[in-house]
Amino acid sequence: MHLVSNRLGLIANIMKNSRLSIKSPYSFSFIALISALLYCDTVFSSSVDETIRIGVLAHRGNAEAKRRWLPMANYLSTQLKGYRFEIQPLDLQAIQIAAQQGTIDFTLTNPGNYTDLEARYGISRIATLQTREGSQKRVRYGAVIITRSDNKNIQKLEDLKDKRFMAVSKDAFGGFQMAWRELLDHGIDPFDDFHEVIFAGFPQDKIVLAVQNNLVDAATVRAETFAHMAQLNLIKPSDFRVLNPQLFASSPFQLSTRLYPEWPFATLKDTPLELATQVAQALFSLQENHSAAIAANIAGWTVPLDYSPVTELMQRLQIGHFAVQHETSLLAIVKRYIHWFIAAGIAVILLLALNGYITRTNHRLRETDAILREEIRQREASQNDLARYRDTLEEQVLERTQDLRITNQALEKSRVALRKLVEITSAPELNHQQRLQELLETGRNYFELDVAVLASIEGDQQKINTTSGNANLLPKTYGPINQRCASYLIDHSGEPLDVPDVAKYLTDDSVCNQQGWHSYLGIGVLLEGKINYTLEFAGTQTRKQQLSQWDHEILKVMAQWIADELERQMAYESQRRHETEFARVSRMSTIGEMAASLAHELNQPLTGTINYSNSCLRMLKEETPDTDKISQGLKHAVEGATMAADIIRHIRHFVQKDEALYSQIDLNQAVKNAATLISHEIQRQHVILVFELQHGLPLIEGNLIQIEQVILNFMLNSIEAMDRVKDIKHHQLLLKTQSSKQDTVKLIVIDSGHGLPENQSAKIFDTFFSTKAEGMGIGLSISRSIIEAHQGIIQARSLEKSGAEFSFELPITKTA
Amino acid sequence: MTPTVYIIDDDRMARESLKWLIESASLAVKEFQSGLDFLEQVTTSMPGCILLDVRMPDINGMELHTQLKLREIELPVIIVTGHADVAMAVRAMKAGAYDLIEKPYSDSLMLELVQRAIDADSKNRRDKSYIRDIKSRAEQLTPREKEVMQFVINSTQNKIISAELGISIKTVELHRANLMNKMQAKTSTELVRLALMAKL
Repeated sequence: MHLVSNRLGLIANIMKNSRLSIKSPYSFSFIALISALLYCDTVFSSSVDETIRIGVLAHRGNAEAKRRWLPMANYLSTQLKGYRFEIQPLDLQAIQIAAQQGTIDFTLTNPGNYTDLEARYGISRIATLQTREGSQKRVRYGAVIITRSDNKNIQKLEDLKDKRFMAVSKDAFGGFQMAWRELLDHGIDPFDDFHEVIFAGFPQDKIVLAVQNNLVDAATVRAETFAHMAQLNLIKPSDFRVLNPQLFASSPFQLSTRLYPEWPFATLKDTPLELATQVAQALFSLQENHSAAIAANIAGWTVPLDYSPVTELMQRLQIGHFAVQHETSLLAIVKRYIHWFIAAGIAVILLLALNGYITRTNHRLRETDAILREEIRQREASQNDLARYRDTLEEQVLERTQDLRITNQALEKSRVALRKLVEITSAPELNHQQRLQELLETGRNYFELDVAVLASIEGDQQKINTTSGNANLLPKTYGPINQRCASYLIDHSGEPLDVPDVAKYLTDDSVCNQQGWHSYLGIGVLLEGKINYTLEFAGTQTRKQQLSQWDHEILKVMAQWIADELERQMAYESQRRHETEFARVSRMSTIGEMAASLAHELNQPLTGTINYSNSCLRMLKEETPDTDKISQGLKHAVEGATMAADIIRHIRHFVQKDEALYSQIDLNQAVKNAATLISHEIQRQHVILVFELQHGLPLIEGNLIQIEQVILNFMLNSIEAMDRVKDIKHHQLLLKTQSSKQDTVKLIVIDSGHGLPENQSAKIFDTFFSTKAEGMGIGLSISRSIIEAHQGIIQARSLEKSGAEFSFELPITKTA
Repeated sequence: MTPTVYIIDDDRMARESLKWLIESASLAVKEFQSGLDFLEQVTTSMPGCILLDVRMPDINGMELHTQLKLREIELPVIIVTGHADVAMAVRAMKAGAYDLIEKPYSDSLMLELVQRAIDADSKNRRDKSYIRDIKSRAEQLTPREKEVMQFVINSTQNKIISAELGISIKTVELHRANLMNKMQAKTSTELVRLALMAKL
């Protein structure tokens, strides 16, 4: 190989250097040199191998001929030691020259050409090609002449007169000549009687389609071409009528012509008989499943058939060597009567000269006239052309306008959908679930499908997250239509799975089928390193085709936005969890600080209960127990126990792990709960608690415990602030609630302490800001987080005279 | 007057239940919401004891003690506390509390404590009236008899007393007989006991 490329490089150099002199007398020696360099490959690689050339009729082009027959040459090279077979693709003319000059050793050509070469150059067939049709091997073939079955005017070959006809080429044996003969037999000369004969060349499929599309009235193709197209459902046989139907037991196809032997493999006159025999044997022993046979699309070779039917055809058509014979006989006649011809010729010439002289003037006038006419004609023609162009231009403009309008409509629809999607993703009033719901709904409407399902996939677990559309069509418990689709969506991250017809795509008894879905559209929604989701749409109708590329892009955008939304929600939830936990820890520490006070608080009713119970026991031991008194005592005991239980309940409620659940809260109730919890602390610090609670306060949506925590923090903060003011014996703590016009409710806590440190009312809610010696300064910062999480405002300020005011304001629940 | 238990507690439940408990032991009870209320009503002639909750909004246990002392009221005070510790107990006892009891308490312990306090109070009251009696007896003594009584208490012999006072033995013997009679003491030993009691 290396050797070859080196050599080619050398040739290129020689060519380059000698470009100017290529037409010199030396050019021949150059070509000879090049040929020598090219062919010495054989000499170098295997000095003993003799090159055998097979001239192949390249009716479908050189490349195709090589592709088809090179494996056959290689096969022969391996079978016949000492020979290297080569394929030379040749056209009809070249094959004729090659046969004449003997530059090829064998030839493989169509039967017509073969009989021609046989007659002219004495080539001789050694094998005939076999093809397979189903279970049958075939060695003969024929052609069909077809027309559209709805063409009532053409029932038999005679009807083809003045019709447009299509065939492969004038030289094509199966592709024209077979039909030609049948037409002649029925009194139709294709070149005289047809309105038009179009030679379309290969492939023959387009000829069949030309008939189907009414481009021509009738056509001929090889019989199996037509049959194969029908088998592949490319055409419907019922759309066509086969003219001049022939019946042959040996042919599985419909035929319009006689059968003729298949292509022969022929040896040239001068090819050694021994070599030809060896080649024939090698060909006969070629197995059908051999790669050479497969490449050639044949079933093998068989003993050579009788090609006289072909010769008969050639003779009938007066083509090939028969055409030459006809010419030869005409020449002979001319030779025989040559002097007659000459005399008649001279007489004619004299007459013509005379006539010419007379008519010269006339002719000149006519010439001028003709020139003018021609000019007029040309002008008219160009005017017509212009008119035609204008018409077609208008048509084209119309067409383009229509196209643009459709495209614009699609774009407008997409734009509207996209805008809707953007609106949904940025709508502050929608919560997470509503937002997903709206996204699905919009997608469903856009894609015109009946249901949409968003499901999470964790391992094998499929869980429906959000659905939209007809509830009857939705899967009840688990997610996507089936495992296969789910895996596909996850594996093809971000690529849509677009199934216009489910029945064709899914053969198993999937949910898809169970749900009665017939079209499907899905995409994976991938969250980075987290759970995967699938977004799926399905419809009850099959779709004609897949959605446009643009629609797929919209789907991808949707999937991305849903992923963003899900991630945002996850982040939000995790933050909420942290805040909730932090708030709880803070409450625990608050309760811890209040432990002594709470123990006393609990001790009071417990002691009471014990006292009442013991008293009653004592009274029961008396001789005449006073039952009225005892029952009264027990009532008191129960009262005490209940009170103790209430306190425990309050504490437990306060420190429980709340699930961050929001409920409808009465702010006044929250104030009362907080005050109960702190009542003893208030008592101990000699603080007088004053309530100014507005009745009938609108409800707010929030976490009750957390709101209580904020109130408690405010109160504890105030109590401690007041404790530091020693000169006043009786402090007052005012708890006030009110509703405002701005749809909010407000809690205000006013103490009688020293107020806030100057310029620190802003900092007071910062974490770890504390003016106290003990305490971490968490309470107020937690309070701020809680209120802000409730979309509220928290404030602190010093009052003019003395004391501080802490307040928060929360939005009330909107009544739908 | 019957001895009465004075309960001072601002917590209604604690106060009333304690009243029930003590009444069930057939003792008289009086409730007070605050120490100040009690101070307004209290007199020396009220026997019994005080049950005082240590946490009071207006006046705490220690302050109440001081006020009572100023009013010469010696009712034993039992401190009732929710959470007693050693420091508090020491403070309370130093301030003169009779005892300290921690909530929640057993009824028998509370009643026993109350009973002991009442007993202590009545003994205290008995002692005090006896002393007052002795003192009034001593009031009846003449100055000379008082002088002689001091010598008798110190177990001085008549002979030495006559020499000390410059009076005859006979006169000493007469004064001695008179003062023994007035003091209602049969023997000089008894006189010594009375004098020690009344700190004569």
